[in-house]
Amino acid sequence: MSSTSDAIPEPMAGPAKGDFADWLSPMLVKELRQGLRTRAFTGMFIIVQLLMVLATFISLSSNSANSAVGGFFWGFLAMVLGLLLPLRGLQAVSSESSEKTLDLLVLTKLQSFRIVAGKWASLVAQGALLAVAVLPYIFLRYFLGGVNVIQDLLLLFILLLASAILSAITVCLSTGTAFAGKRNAGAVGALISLFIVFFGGSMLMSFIYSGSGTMMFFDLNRWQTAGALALVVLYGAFLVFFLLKVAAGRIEPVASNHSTARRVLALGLGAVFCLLSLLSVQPTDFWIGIGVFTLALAALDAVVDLPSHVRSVLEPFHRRGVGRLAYVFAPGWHTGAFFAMICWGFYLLFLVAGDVSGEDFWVAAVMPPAIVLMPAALTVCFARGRATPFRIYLMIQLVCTVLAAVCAGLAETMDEIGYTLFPSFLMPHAGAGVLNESSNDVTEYSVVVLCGIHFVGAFLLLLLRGKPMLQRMGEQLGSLDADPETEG
Amino acid sequence: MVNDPSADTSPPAIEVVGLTRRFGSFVAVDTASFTVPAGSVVGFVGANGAGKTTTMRVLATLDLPTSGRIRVAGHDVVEYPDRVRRILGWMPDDFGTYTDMTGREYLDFFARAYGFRGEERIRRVGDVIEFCELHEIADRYIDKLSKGMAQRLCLGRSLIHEPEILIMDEPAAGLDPRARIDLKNLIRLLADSGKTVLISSHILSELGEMCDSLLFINNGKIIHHGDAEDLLQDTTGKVTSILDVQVLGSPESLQNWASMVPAVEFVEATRHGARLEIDTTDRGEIAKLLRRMVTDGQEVVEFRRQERRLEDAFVDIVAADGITGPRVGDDQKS
Repeated sequence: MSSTSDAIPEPMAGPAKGDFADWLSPMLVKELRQGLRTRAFTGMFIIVQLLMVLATFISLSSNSANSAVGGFFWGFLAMVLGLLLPLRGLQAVSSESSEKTLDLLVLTKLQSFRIVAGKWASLVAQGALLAVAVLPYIFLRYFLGGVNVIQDLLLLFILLLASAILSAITVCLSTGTAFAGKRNAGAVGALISLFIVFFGGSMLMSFIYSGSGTMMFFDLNRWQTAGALALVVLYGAFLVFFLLKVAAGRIEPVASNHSTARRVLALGLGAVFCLLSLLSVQPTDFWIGIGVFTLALAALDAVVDLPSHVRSVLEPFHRRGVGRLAYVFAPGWHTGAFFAMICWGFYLLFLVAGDVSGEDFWVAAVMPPAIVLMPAALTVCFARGRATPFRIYLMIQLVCTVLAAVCAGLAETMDEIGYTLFPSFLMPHAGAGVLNESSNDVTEYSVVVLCGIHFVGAFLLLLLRGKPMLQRMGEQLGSLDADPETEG
Repeated sequence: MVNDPSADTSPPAIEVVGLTRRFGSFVAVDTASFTVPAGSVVGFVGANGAGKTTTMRVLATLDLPTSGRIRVAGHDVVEYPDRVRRILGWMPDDFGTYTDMTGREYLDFFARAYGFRGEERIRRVGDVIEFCELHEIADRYIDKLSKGMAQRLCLGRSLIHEPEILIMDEPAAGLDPRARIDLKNLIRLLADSGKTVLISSHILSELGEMCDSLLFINNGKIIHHGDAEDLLQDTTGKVTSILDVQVLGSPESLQNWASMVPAVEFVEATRHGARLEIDTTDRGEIAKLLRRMVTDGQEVVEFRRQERRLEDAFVDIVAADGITGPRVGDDQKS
């Protein structure tokens, strides 16, 4: 064996004739090879086929049973595509950790994003395979009568899309240490299943069906509906990309940057939604809702992001002549604080677009951002040097929310506002309990002032703690300026 | 083993300057500095928890140093990990295999992951199977392989991209003697082909045979870096020999006799005699001592000169450094 490291091809050479697998990502090929062999998949596949045959026989025996069978048909498919398949994602990265193969993968030319994307794509491909396998039954149901085949196909597509997004969530979660063991994965998986079933299911159903009980989403004669479907697909793609980037950032050592892409993309989307809402393009409330959600997600992600400002991460900023943008878009919570402030600026514009005014404006302007930022500042203090700031953030957020709920309950029971007002000095979450129908201007302004203090204080604390890292980043950027011949 | 910069301008294969790695308050590696010249085989020796694996993981770009400068083939491991990964083969102590794949599929996957396609990929997999003699097991599922076979497969995996530098963390751990010999032969072949190998092991005698130099680490500090032959000399610089002597009858008589002889520097009681440390390695002087022993009435039944082993050298160097064994807080490492 000769020593020819240069033999590693830089751009991937074209595949050999007849080798289809060479056209696909190596990770996808490996995951499909492994995934399709598992008992879980083959078992699921056989059960789906058996149940579809059974459903078809029942439909054949009685026309009146067709609608009942339809409910069962979709219910079962939703369970498989929307629950069982995504849950397998919980073991996607954690299984590599437990088999001690993650390091080996990271050392190859597969970068961490391709690793997680391959795992996700494999789950989606398996879902697609199941979906294709039920297509004959969908057409059979159409010939038996009583169903709209276009609606059924679109519903199947929506299910696949939901499955893809849920799989991205579980693949992202699988990078956490909570899923290192099968027992842990099972326990947390059960919790996530409950979440998916109760919240995901109800959201999906409300999305698909209009109030009249008809499938408003599938009336393709309406251009708006077709546009909405395209928007859902695009936004789903954004969510998947965002989540997989988060996952990639968590498995790769710090000398990589997965943060800039997701921040830029989220901010870009937020800006577009903001513009649409400011121009009063209908449905304005929808643009505001989805825009605020996008920016909140990005801001939350940014303030718990792991810092990395090594030369190779900062070089792209320097090369493009936008070194200063590294202070907002480079990985790390210290830059995330500035990024969160930009998101807050857009959030204020959304409030303006939503015609929120008076005390409500001020409450909305400071309370939710304070709720996002204050635990981040505490996390920075507690998670010093630890690789899991998000878990600590989540814990603080959970504790504050529970305490605020208890305080609100006590205030309601005792009819004493002090139970919520005084805890507001400690955490902005309690401020929500102060605001009710009986609250007056004084209490509202008190909440605004307290939340404002939390908001500004948290931001300053983040800046203070991040100052050494910001200085180091400045030095790194300065050294790049001084040394134009950076290694390329 | 020191590189002479004036003789060779190419960067050393591995250059570590002041490497420190902390896990919280625990210092796993403490300002370690060493150089591994290109094309050499270096053994990395240390007790459990001494900092070997941490150092190797940093070199392999799998962990970040708290401080220090680490370059592999001239590339900084922190700043340019991708460049380092291209020229580095990593073999962890736990192998890292997928049990639900065959050996060939496993190698094929890693060849794809390193970017090889088509004929080139098939050639590389074939080369590795040939080199590591994996023909018999290539189409068996990995969970059906013996530990030795799995380890050879893992070595094959680390060679699939033909790296210039190989880092092997305890590759012989848990292997039977036959598998160890096979591994040793493979490493010799790699060394002959000009690859740089950094290998950690507890089996010092094996390292002595295959390594150009040995690197000792204790409590996170590099305490010695030198040729295996140099290590066989007493680290204090004294020229001594150890003699194992067994006598018929009471060993106390021999021990008393030895304590009276000026040439004997140290006497250690054994079950049937004593272990004597004398201040010479001269064979004539040793023969004279034996003759005197017999003349003085000692009934010698066994007289054996003990060779100094690498283990002795290691123990001496570690003892000179202070504390031995794993440190408190080793379990803090994640």
